[in-house]
Amino acid sequence: MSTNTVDRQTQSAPPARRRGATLTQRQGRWGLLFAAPATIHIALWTGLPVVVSIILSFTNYDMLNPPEFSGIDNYVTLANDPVFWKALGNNFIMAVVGIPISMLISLALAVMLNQGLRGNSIFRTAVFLPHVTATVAIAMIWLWIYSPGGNGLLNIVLGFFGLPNQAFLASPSQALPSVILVTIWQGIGLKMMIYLASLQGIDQQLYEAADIDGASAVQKFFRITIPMLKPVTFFILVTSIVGNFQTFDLIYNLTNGGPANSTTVITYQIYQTAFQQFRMGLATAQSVVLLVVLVVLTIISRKVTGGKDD
Amino acid sequence: MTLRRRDFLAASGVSLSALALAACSGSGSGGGGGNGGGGGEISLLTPEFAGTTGKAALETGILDGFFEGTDYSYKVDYTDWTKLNEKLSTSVAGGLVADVIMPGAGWVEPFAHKGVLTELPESLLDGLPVNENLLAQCRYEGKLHALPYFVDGRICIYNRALFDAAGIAEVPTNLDDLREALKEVTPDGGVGIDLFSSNIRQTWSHLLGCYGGRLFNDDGTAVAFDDGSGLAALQYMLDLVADGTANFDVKGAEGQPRPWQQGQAAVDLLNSSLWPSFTEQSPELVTEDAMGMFLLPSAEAGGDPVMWTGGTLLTMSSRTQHADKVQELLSYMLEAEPLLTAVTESGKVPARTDIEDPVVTDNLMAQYTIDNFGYATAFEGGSPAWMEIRGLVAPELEAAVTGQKTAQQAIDALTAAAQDALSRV
Repeated sequence: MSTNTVDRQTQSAPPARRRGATLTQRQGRWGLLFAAPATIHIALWTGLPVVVSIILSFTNYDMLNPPEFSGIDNYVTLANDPVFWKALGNNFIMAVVGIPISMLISLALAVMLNQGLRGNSIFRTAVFLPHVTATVAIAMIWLWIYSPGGNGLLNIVLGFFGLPNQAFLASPSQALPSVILVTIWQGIGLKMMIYLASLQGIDQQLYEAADIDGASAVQKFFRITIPMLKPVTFFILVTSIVGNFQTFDLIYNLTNGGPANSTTVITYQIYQTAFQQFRMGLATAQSVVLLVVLVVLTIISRKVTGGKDD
Repeated sequence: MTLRRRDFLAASGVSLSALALAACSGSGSGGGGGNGGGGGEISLLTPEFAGTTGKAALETGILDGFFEGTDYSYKVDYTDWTKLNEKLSTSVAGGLVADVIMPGAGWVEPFAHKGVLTELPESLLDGLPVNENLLAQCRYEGKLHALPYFVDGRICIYNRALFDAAGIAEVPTNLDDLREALKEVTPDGGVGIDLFSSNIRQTWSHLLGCYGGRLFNDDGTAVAFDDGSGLAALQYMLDLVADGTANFDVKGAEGQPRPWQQGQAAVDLLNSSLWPSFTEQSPELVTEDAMGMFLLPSAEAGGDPVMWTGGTLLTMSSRTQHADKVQELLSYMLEAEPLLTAVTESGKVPARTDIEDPVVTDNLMAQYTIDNFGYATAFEGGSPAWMEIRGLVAPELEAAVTGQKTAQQAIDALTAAAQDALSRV
């Protein structure tokens, strides 16, 4: 009997040691429990569709009949499709031209507004307004501004200066720059607000120390402001790239990808392929390519902006 | 029994997964079935009757009159033409197809081929005063799958003052004459004819008809516009651009008056359903004294003029559980009074030719379209692959019109794309 008691005590000793070790494990389990809803949510609504899309990209699927495995046919079709490459190229042009310009303008505006000028809030609201305005409404306004006839606002202005009418959205050579201008105008507001918030978070002691060292305004801007904005610049760059490659509603309402596919973008092509041509397999292959492009661009952005996003 | 944390975690995980799966399966199965008995709900999918007044016209003005006192109710899903295709396709994929669908010209073959639309009895046409030309777009493999509800014709309107000033008393009777006449009437800084405010694909297919061509062969399995007619139609457009009598840059923006209304075009190739907006925006221009009308003439001297016709059709889903009641509804919607309510709202041309109400008779464009039903042809469609092909047409035509491709290159590319689509049917 006593032996048994000793045995039990002996056997119960290791759990006493484990109790100390399980504190971390317990925390880990609670962590898992708290993370479970978000994990399940992401797995179901993001992970699963991504996996299904990748699978569907290797099939012929028209929504009405069951998918048929087609190997890499869809990817071969994409590789040989000039319109797809045109769309991809347009996205790159919009990103390479539009994003840096809009970031520079946003930064300049944010620095100006950070000086505490009079009418600050009115100006801030005005710049932010395009971001919260429905894209359909924006497109309608810009359709009028760009109207190729004599009643378009820009052509009226050109006419005032004795310049000839321009086709803008009706011209294959002018349509994409015209669209880029709208994306810049539309995107400045949010970027400016983020820059402004970040500027206001920079420790003023840094500037005071620089003043004591005799640094000029330009030196302070390039040696303190810009480096301190690096994390937020990375954030803006990545979200702008992702947003740029997801541009759809503006193209849909402004140009329908035309004229002659001169303003088509990947998301518009995905829409056309999926919902106008019912080639879901091909459309998901386009989506997979878009996903890969975005991942690669995000990695490159990370490298370009210094490898830190915190 | 003690409840350990591990058990709790496992149970939570299983429960959440089950809950999520249950939620998924619940939403997927909700649309099946229907009441096959003496009552139920009939659903309609329409790209027409937009906005508050449109909804009131359809529901209060038309549907209430049919459903009142019956065991049936109705539900209307409103969309617009640009979204009808995806709405219809996704609803088919989701198993929630409306009982009554209102597609357009060219839609019957693709959706009948896919088994979405079902055949209608020919008896629905008994006593219905509808021109036979309007029924071509309603048939698939020779069988009736749709009824024409209201239509729109592509007609040319012209500014009489400009024609009078140029000394042109008679409207052109062939495309060569039209080309020459346009050179005479082109206003300064404007164009002779506004070819591009309307859908360029439809304009081209209209001209295709003028050259005696069509998009597909009889059974819709092969391209037919590669016989030279497609090239001739596109080349004609390029010739007008080269003459300076048509210009891709001169076209009306969304929601704004068209160039013809602004004096920038002598002739406008337009959709007859624009009458309400024209009478509202520029009533002084659309009187019989100020405006003349003609149909696009044939390419051949002495040939018949050509009227491109589109329209809104009434069709029945193959999955409906209430086929008899749906057919009754379709017949009712084509009765004179409900149809008049519909065309009053839409400004379009009733498919029936016996409506003498001022809404129709005072609409000069509608009346002209009705008077020319004998020349009406729906040039779009004709193949089960049409929905896939139609989105590919405009970019190729635009490339030619803007000088990026020759007409031959554009037609060759279009032919190849169409053949590729046809090969998948």
